[in-house]
Amino acid sequence: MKRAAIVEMNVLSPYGTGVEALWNGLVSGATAIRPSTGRQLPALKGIHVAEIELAASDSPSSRLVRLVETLWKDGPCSVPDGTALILATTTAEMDRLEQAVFQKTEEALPRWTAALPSMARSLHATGPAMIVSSACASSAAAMIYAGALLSRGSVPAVLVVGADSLSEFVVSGFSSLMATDVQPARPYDCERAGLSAGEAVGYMLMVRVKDAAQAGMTVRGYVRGGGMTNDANHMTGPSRDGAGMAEAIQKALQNSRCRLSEIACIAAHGTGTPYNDAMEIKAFNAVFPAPVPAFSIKGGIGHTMGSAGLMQAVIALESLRRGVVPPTVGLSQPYEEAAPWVSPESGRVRGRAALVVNAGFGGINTAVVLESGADRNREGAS
Amino acid sequence: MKVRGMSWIQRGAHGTWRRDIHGSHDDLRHLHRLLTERRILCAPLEGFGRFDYDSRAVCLAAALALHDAGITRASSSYRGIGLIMSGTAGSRDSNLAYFRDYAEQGRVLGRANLFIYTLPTSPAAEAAIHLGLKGPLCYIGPVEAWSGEEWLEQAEILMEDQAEIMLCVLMDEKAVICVVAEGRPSDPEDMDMRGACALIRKIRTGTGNRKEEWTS
Repeated sequence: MKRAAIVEMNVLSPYGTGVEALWNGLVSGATAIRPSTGRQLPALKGIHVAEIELAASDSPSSRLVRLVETLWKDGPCSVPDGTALILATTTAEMDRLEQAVFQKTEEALPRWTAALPSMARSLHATGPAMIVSSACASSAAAMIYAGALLSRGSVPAVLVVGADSLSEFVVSGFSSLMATDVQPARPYDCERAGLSAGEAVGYMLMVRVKDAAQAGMTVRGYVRGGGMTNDANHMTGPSRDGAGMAEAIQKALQNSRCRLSEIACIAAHGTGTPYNDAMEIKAFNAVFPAPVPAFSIKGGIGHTMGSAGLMQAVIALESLRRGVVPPTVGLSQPYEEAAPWVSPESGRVRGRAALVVNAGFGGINTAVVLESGADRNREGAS
Repeated sequence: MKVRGMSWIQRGAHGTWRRDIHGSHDDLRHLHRLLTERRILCAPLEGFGRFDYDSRAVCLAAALALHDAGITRASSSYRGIGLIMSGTAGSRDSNLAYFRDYAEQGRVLGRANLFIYTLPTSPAAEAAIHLGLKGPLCYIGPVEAWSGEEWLEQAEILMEDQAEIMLCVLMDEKAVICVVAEGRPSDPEDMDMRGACALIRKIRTGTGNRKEEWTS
């Protein structure tokens, strides 16, 4: 793929609406993971999750659709005619399936892609609409796919929407795998014990670089390239040696024509599960000759599943722009191997490129190389 | 992009394009035995009885398709082969199976061996594990909105920079079809997109719900 320009981006996270809210939340060091009040999702009452406070509504729409609508209402963007929509999600509208089971109306359950046409209309994306799902690496896979789609020249722009909502389905499922921490997640900590479930939605509008220049668009960043591999090892656990992730990173660097020394920071997957975090650090050690500042955002907003990669990408670009990496919220004492890479404190970075890595059930690994936009280091330089 | 091999599994029948295999089977357990006996699978798939229905079908279709394409584990490009899934239902049946069980058991404990199949990519992941495929793995949809050409084009886009060979799996109510797509075709006898799409159309017009054997 050719380098693609990101000209618009916005998020709705448990810290609130906007990239600024997400950035400030992470930099504050305070987690948005807390025992659920049950107001939003009664079945989760008392469980540590990072949820978004949606306004009360009689809308029949699913939670996922309402989250996307809320984000768009609070922070829309101008979408060129013919823009393709890619919805990056693990399983989309899971609350619809829950209702169908409880109400015994399973036969009437709509297709899992049912939300796509109306979402495309709401977001003014008049080109082709599709779903890309690669477990918890869905957003990253969608960014790679969007870049390739733009390289082909068949669409003028791609709106990548990363979206997943909390549900009893997902929380009970992670619990069944003994993958959740009773406390808020503590990525890379020596006492880490699992993930915290979260929810978030976000979007990125991607266009060809020359089109962005011709139209005088402000470029927020670039997707330079990506790599995708599979461990072929286990349905839910990553390979212990990190070889698959290391290969995805190498592939991303190669496809981006990016030298290792260009990578200023890493927005890591960092779920807080013992195996994921250990696998990632092994992969980083296998690829990089010396540690690079890395961080996880999942101690702040939980594991937001299909939208995780997009959230990380947004924060990676903010890090390059500000010349600062956020702290890994929830981290107190990094385990020995992770200590040179991650920190409970913010740190300074200098450079133009960042790496975003994600891993998903089924052994999926993705790595995406991002580059800062025109306004990089604006605040860091001031 | 060209097609190097293709397989399909319908209700009670299976087949391939290049090697012109056409056979019948009682159910997927039977097909599993047949493929093992014919050495299309080098060994029985471990844990096959635990797989959900779609994972069984995708694993067997993928093994048949690789065999049809003449790709063995010794092939230089084998490790990097990717899997792209498309279907009309995502993981709906397995999602319902997990959540129905969880609800019926009092909404206290979920069953992990059902939960692991609740992603649209789960069947492809199971196939990747058992066949040792280490390329990209992804689900794209909605396939019901695409022609065969459009579906294969999506696969071609994803292959760019990511894999030389991709197994493209299409699942609907009637069939599981697995296409071995090659970015840089080396064999002049490989099938072009038009031929592949015509064959896909023909397979998808077959009769019978492929899952009837499972649900009856």
